[in-house]
Amino acid sequence: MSIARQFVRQFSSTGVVGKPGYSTVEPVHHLVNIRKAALKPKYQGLLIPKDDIRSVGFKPTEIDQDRVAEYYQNTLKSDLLLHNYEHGAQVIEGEKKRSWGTDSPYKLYRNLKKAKRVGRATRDIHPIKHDNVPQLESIYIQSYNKWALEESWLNISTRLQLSQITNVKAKQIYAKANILPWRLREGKPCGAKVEIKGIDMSQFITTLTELVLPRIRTFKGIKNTSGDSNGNITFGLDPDNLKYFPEIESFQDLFPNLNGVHITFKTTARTDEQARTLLSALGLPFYDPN
Amino acid sequence: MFKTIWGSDKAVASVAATSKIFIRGKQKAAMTPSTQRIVNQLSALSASRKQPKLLSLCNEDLIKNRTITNAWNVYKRKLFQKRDEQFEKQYNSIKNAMEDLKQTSPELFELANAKEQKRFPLEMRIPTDFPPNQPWVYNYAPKK
Amino acid sequence: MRGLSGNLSRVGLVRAYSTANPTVSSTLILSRNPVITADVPKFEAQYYKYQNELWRRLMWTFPKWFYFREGTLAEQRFRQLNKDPVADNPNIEFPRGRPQIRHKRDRRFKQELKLPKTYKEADELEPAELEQAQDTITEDDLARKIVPNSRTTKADQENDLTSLERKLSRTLYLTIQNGSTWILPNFPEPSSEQVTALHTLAEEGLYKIGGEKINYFNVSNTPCHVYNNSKDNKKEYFIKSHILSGDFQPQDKSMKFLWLTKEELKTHLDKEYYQDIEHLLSEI
Repeated sequence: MSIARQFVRQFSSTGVVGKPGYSTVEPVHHLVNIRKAALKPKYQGLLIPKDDIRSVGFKPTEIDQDRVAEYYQNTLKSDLLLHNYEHGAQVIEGEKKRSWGTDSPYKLYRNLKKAKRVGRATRDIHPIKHDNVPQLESIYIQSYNKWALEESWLNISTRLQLSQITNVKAKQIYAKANILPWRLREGKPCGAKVEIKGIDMSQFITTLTELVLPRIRTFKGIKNTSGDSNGNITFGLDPDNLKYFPEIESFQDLFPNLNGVHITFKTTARTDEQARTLLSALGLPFYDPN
Repeated sequence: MFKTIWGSDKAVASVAATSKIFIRGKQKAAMTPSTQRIVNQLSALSASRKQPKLLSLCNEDLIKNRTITNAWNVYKRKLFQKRDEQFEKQYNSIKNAMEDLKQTSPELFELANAKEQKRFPLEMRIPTDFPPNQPWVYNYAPKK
Repeated sequence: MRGLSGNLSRVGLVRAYSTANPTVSSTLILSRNPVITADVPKFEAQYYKYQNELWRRLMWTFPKWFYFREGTLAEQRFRQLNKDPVADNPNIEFPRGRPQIRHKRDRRFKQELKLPKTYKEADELEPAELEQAQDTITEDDLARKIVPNSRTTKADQENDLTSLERKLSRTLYLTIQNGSTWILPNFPEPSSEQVTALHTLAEEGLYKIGGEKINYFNVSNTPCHVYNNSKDNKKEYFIKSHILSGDFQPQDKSMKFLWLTKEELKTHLDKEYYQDIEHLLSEI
């Protein structure tokens, strides 16, 4: 009985290796570029999804009872369903890219014409039903630090400050354009951004509405005009207001230079009004600017 | 104070220059406090030397983990299904009520279907883990 | 026929309906939202514990040099509480594996930290100090020990069904007694020329039976359900609302009312009535 090991060819090795003679098979020239190095056995672990415990990037998400998410599911969702109900509401179609016509093959295969008015295509607005009740998806926090354009190490403090209040490591943002009066140069680091979801988001919301905003004397609320007309609401906090975050308040000497932040609430609502109602239900006040 | 113990500055400087004190390890240049703070901030932010060892579960533990995760997913799915069914019923019941109202009384229907800008009151609070000292506020005075 | 119906709508539908057609009425679902988070079922609690431990195990080392500057009193206290782990020594055998120390943390395990307390526990104090401490500690003292309030209240112990402080983790609904049966408060449309919107009708009716001292939030003008009450020849439209503060004080002394959870409503309400409105009530 032979105990010779069978040779198994990996994707990462070529077929010629281990062959005695030459092949009469014509070589296949792949039209799709394949990075063979990425197929190495040692990289197989990276293919495991991150919610699997064997993955290198595994991080448990459901680590505790999430009181904001539960409040939304138990109380707010059915209220919002009832509040947003409109009898006989129809789908409001968004602007779509338009055809040039079908009377010639040239028009048929030409890239579609821009949408009317806005230029870019916009999504349809569906009436609110039980399966599309507005919900908070994530919170996006970004901070612009213009001093970091000259001394890039000044950005460290901005990144740490965002990480400190959100519990998620902040990413650096870079200038995209060259604007001389602002001393902007393409590729220069100029601030930080972070997107929070899940329990970190809930924690941030409760800290904001229960500890920070009530202590800001000048804070009237979020403007009723705020919003990007796609259901995402933004407001800003000044550097002075940021010190009310308990994570920063207790260590004020560690953060001598605070940076203002822009906080964007990303919701599944399709209009700003729906998004504002949702946020007001989560404890954020609104006011009419005059 | 310095001068009274050690005499003059010059004398101290001369002593320091002549006697060579051996210090073990790499010589660190003195950092200003602000530089030190930035270094600390960067080290707080970076993953270097702070990451724990990766989890490496044995086969038995992996199977246990998979069983727990599956049980959790089944539990959650049932919960969500039940919830979704309830929301669907609620939606149908609103629709049904409005349809009925439209037939019964068009005036009331108009009033019920009128849309207005609505904000939830700030008194509606997110539930906390433990109750406040005063669980319920009784002394409410209606606004005149 | 068309002429007749057009005529009716101009004069006032409600009066016309009160004779032949069912009366339009508005039923109020007045709920008290949960004040505290829901009780966690055992399975959920166990799963959260498991995930939480994994999360702690995979955490980065706490950068104590950042938060506690060397040479300060706070750092000294922190160091006293958190002893360094056993260092790796090549001359010693470790039966449970060699420690891997980075920044004074064994990176094979989760890092457990103790923070200095701002107060002393009762068993750490001398009897003389204890008395003194009880006198000096005030509500505003930031250094005092935080003791969370109990999740069960006095109303729970006494099983006071009319209290708004009972079952803080559940949604409670207002029910009133109508003859021998329990119902949700119902207010018929007055038979006048003008129609009153359903939510206004419910609000006015609530103030009439329960006094003005109710802070009340009406979710929407839209009714969330219709119930055909064939017994009284009524059409009941349900209006949803929340009580935020204040109290329901019955103006008529003989009127009985209860604040009940979903399960309790099942036993109190008429069976057919409950089944019709079951999906409107919150599980929590």
